[in-house]
Amino acid sequence: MDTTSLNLLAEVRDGGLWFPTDASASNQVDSLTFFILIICAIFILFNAGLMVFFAIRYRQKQREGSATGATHNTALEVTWSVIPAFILAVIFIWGFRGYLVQATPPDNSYDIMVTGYKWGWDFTYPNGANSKAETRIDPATGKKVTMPPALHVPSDTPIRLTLQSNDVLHSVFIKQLRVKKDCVPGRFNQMWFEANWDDDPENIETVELPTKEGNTVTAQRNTYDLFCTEYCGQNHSMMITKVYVYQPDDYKKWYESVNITPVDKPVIEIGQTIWETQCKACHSLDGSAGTGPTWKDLYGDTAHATSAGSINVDDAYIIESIRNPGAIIVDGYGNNMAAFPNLSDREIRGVIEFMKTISDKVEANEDLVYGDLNPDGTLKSESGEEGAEEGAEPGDETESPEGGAAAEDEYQAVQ
Amino acid sequence: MTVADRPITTDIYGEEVELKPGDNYINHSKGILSWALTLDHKRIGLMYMVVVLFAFFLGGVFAIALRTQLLFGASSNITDGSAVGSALWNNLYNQAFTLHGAIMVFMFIIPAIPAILGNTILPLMVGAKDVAFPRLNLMSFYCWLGGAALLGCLLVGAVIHLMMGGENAPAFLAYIPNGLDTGWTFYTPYSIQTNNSVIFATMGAFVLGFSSILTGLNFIATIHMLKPKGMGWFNMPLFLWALYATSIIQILATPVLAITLLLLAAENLMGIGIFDPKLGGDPVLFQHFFWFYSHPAVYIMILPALGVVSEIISVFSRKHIFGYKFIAYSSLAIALFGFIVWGHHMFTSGQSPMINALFSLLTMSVAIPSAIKVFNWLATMWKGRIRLDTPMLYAMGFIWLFTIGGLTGLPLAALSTDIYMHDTYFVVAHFHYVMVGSTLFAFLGGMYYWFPKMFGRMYDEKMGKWAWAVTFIGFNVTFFIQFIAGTQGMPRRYATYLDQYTIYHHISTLGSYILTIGLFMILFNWIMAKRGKRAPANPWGGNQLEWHTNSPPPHENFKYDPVGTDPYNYHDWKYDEKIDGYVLDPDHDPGNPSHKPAH
Repeated sequence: MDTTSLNLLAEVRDGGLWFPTDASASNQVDSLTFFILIICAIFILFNAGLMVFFAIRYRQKQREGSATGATHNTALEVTWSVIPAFILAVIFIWGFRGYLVQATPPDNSYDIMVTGYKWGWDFTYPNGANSKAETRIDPATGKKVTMPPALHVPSDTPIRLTLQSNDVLHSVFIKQLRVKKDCVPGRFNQMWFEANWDDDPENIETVELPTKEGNTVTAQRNTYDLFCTEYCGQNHSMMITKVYVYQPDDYKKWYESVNITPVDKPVIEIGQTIWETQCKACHSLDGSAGTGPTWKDLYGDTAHATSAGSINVDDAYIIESIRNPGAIIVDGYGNNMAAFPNLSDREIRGVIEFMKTISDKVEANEDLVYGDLNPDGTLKSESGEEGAEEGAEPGDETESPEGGAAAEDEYQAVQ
Repeated sequence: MTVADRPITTDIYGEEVELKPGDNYINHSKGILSWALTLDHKRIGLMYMVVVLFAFFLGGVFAIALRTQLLFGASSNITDGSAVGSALWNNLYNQAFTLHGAIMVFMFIIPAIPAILGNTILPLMVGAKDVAFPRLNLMSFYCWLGGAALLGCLLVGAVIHLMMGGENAPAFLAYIPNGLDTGWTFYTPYSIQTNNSVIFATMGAFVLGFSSILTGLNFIATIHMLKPKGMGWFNMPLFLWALYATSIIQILATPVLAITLLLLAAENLMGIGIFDPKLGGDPVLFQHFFWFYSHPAVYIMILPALGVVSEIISVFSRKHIFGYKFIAYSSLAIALFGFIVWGHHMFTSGQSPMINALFSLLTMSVAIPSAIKVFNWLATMWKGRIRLDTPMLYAMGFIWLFTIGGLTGLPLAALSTDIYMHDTYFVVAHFHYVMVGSTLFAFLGGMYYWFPKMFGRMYDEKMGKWAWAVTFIGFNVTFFIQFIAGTQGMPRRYATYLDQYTIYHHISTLGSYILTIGLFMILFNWIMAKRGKRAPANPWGGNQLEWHTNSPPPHENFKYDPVGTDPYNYHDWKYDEKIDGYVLDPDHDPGNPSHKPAH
């Protein structure tokens, strides 16, 4: 993730003297916490007060002598065992009832799949599309900053997140929605919440979204934080993104726009955005060593792996490295990379074209735009030669620019 | 020659005793080997003190390092190319918090009270010449050193990597452990995927575990077999009850950690597939195994502390402890409950709601024996004759910290609120209040309390009180603010943080500096006590058996076999202004061979 995007993430407005802003219609946390804190305060002040009072009141005037007094009192012992037990029972039952609500997603929930990886998040929606990185202008520096893919949800709708992990443990924590659950590799965990719409103008951001027709519409959204709270290694503290809550009508606009990539968008730019949000932590562009090999002058080069001998870094090798990273491990590196099944073939093409721009060994394809690509990532104009290798149909003209038939699915849950 | 330097002290009857070379355990014999091969529990206790305090220092260095990093960790300090937020920055932070946790838990808090104060005081308290198995005791010390050496390899390795790593790293570097960045919990599958140093660390913790098991075994045997005439289970000092309960946990739970760590090492080396989901294993299984030891381990840390405080509160209130049996049984209850609450560490891991509910209920039950102890201490102080010397200040500080630490466990035990608080700074603050605040304060209080006995010198009381005030303030400033940061949603183990949390981190770091100053004041005070006033046999007027011998005790502990009486009955000890200590009328000492019962 782009380090400077953390600055923009930090902008989220956050009221609340004790807790952060409460944006949750399913909040089971605050009232019980306040109840417990009041109990805590009473006991702490009572104990400390008595202790200090005794220390002053009964402070010895002379060393000689010792105190006499009762050494036990069973009635008293039972009293101060039973009263805490009673309070604990109340707290337990209250907490358990709240937890049952937290642990049981309503049947009409809207499903989103969340995948944690080192170090970022993938969000997959019912139409098969994924949240894309966004480019924003940092108001402080005026520079363009790439924001990592965020979680987009409709307000006033129960949202069920199915959590998985590609590599190690992660945990989704959205503090304003009072929810948390671990992403455990090899398991599917579930969590749910329902966000209220906050009409405070300070928490409303207006965004422009592309439409199928090629123009733009505006939508309003609230912004919250999403943290990783299970330690996952080097960039754990940067595994942060945002949660955007739209009113259902605006959410529909976003949902329809999510798969639309303008046909004139340069392919290299697509690759660069993916690098900034998903590859940068391990792969540098300037030749410096990282968890994985640097991309500088990598494309077209030859690498060596004990298991496979000499390897030409070409399209096929890069595609394999993204889809099945453990297949061939180049000498000197560990098997640390997770697969990226959510990158489309066209996006991987973007990564390849981006890699070419920073390699001296090949010519970059600067003019390529999104409209030039087939859904399988091959070039329309050259589909004769490239497509033959990958078995794609040459001359496939039927694709609509938004790509993926899944995007045509009706958005049901908020109707 | 000043009065303080006269080689004369007083025995328990107030008689002057000339100090001759070789008549106490410290100068009993000379030479390095006489220490390295000693079987004397008191000398082993002192050697433990030196190395465990050094581990505390090391762990503290990492704490200060990471708190200092967090001074600058705000996200607005992060720009492209800045040190803050770079890979090096994050790796250093991750290593610092991991080594801080691992060193403090395995090498300081777990052995602090049992290995230092327990080893030195327990045999004296039961009126014995030594622990039941002195050779095992020495072996436990060397296990500690062996484990520490393995963890030390990580530190050395990390430094070598820092100096020689980078683009042109020599090939042999791959075989040198590169620090440790898994957190002290070694959670899988990260601990399987990260570098080779996990094996060193787990082996280190494995060997340290044996040190813990051997000490526990020794204490149980000693308490069962070596109690003197007149001492039954219910007129044993409560510190012994606490150590007994601790020892049960040590010998039952530590082997589980050993098995877990061996499995993890096997997984790392051979890829068996117990915890690694890629091979069909379950990472949450590791959490169950790990916390099955490590939650009871929390009670290994706190139970001895509760015992120390029971002693201090009673002696410094000059009043019989209130509710002896309830305090004794509550130690056993805490040890027992401690075994069946481990699942609360996995509330958000996806384990079934019914299991979560069960663990939540069981976790809350621990609060009751804890509350019983606190109320009994307050009842002991009630109508006492309280003297506010340094040990008592630490005991009272303990009550404050333990009350806060214990009660803030409630929102973590209750299910719905834990879902929010889990893995935030609220948890960090909570367990530092319990494990560091409480255990550290009880340990320091115990050190001050038994200092005259252990070294035969008095520390400087004024300096002791000042240092107490500084540590108390420093600790609360450091950690209280973290409750608020956690409630505001600040996740733990973050090398950088969003700007809104800056103020909490700055205050906390400031507090940690104050705490450090206080701890160095304590160390200075202890070192300066080398020239302190000679301690009488019984400076505080306690009736526990360790006060029935000279300070420092002779090699064989007692001149005659002591006889157990009610350890909390102080009436027979009379204050002697001349020596600023308490003395016993020989006719009231049932252990004195010349003593004739009045009737």
